[in-house]
Amino acid sequence: MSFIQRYKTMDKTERANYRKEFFINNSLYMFLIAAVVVIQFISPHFLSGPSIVNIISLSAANLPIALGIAGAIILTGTDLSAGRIVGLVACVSASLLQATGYPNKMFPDMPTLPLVLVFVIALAIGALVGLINGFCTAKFNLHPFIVTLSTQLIVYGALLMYLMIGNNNGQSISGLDSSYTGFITGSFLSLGRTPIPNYVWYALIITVIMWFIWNKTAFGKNMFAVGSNPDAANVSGVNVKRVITLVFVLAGIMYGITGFIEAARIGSNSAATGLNYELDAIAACVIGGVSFVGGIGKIRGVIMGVVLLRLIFVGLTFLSIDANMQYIIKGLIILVACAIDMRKYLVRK
Amino acid sequence: MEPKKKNVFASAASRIPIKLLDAVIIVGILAIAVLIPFLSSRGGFTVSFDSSGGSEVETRRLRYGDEIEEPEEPVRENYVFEGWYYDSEGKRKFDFDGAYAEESLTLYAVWSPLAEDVPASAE
Repeated sequence: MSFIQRYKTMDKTERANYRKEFFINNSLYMFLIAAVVVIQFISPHFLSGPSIVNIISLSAANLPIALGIAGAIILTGTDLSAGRIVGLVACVSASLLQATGYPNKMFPDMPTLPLVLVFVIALAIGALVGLINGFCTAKFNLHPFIVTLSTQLIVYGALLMYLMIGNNNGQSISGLDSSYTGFITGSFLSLGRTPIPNYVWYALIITVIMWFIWNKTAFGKNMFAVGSNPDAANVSGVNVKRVITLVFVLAGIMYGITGFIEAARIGSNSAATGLNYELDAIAACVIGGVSFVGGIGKIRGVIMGVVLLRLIFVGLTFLSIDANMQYIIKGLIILVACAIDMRKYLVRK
Repeated sequence: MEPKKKNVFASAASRIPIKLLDAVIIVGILAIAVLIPFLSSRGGFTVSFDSSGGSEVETRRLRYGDEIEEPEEPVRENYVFEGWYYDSEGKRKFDFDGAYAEESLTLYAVWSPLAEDVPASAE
């Protein structure tokens, strides 16, 4: 029976119950949309052309890392090392793609490397840390929280050491080659007079690829199976350890892509790059319906979560709320999203 | 026989009543709804000017969209003022033309030493 047919056959109490459930399950979305409308009313430039391009750009920058972490959450885990991996990859990519004439160049005798090579290096670094995360989780049966907490610290230490080599001595890395910045932040399409940066399109391509992986491959189906019930998946012949490892490797590759884009996007990279990025990514996933109990999540949910979160925080900036104070709101949003998620799980049981 | 679901959440979750979660959701949303106007009214961005050894320049408190006006040039003995930069190393210069407050910022004064055969100008 379709939903409309089912609704018609419900009696009064069932319908009232359904409406109540719908209202509570979507209360956070309704509240956030209402907040956006109010902010637009107070500050009419909020949804203007340049502002919308800004929101879309910021969302696109945060989308790959959210898609990577979503995989870990679907496995009822988490990945706390995401931000630091992004930082490490960003600094390594930046250091290898500084402009040749730049006075503070980290490796002064190195010519400008081809972008493709540095991109592959970025993916390799991300995949390597992802492999460590996945292997330790799968093989030693450790909880991903602990494993990724350790890799987070190790990657940060590696980053600090990396920044000291060459000509750099711990400074921030800037002065990037124009071919790199042009490739990432250049634009060939504009909305009105505001240019849309290229990385928006790259994020879109990556999203389509991830959608394909999640929905149209055996690996994707196995990921959801392991997430919802690892024992049943094992009995059905799924290699649970391999799936877990590959999910974290895929997540690592996503962080590598994010780092490669981020280095050019922000222009000046230091040890602080990537700090706490995983918090925004996890928040976006939870808001977007990727359940912490595992096995549930949709690509369109992740996209919606990322965009909605970004919309709210740009909106809060328009209200002159300082970035430090925004943490409180961010925490409350995550709390409410988790409560809704848990409630949906309990009602299902 | 279907294998039991070995889920970390299963045991803990069954002990949490749904009504409690409803309360958390409602209180949470109300808290956000109250906090946003509260933080907004007490909000604002701080633009501070670190004169790096020169004369002090007052910190400004601005709301979103307020124009950032260029302050009076600071002075430092035996140095020439080069301008305000985003970083203390002098890599990215701050352009006051059309600049408006969109986040809290610290701007750094960058100096270059006065050449030795030029008499220090009296200020």
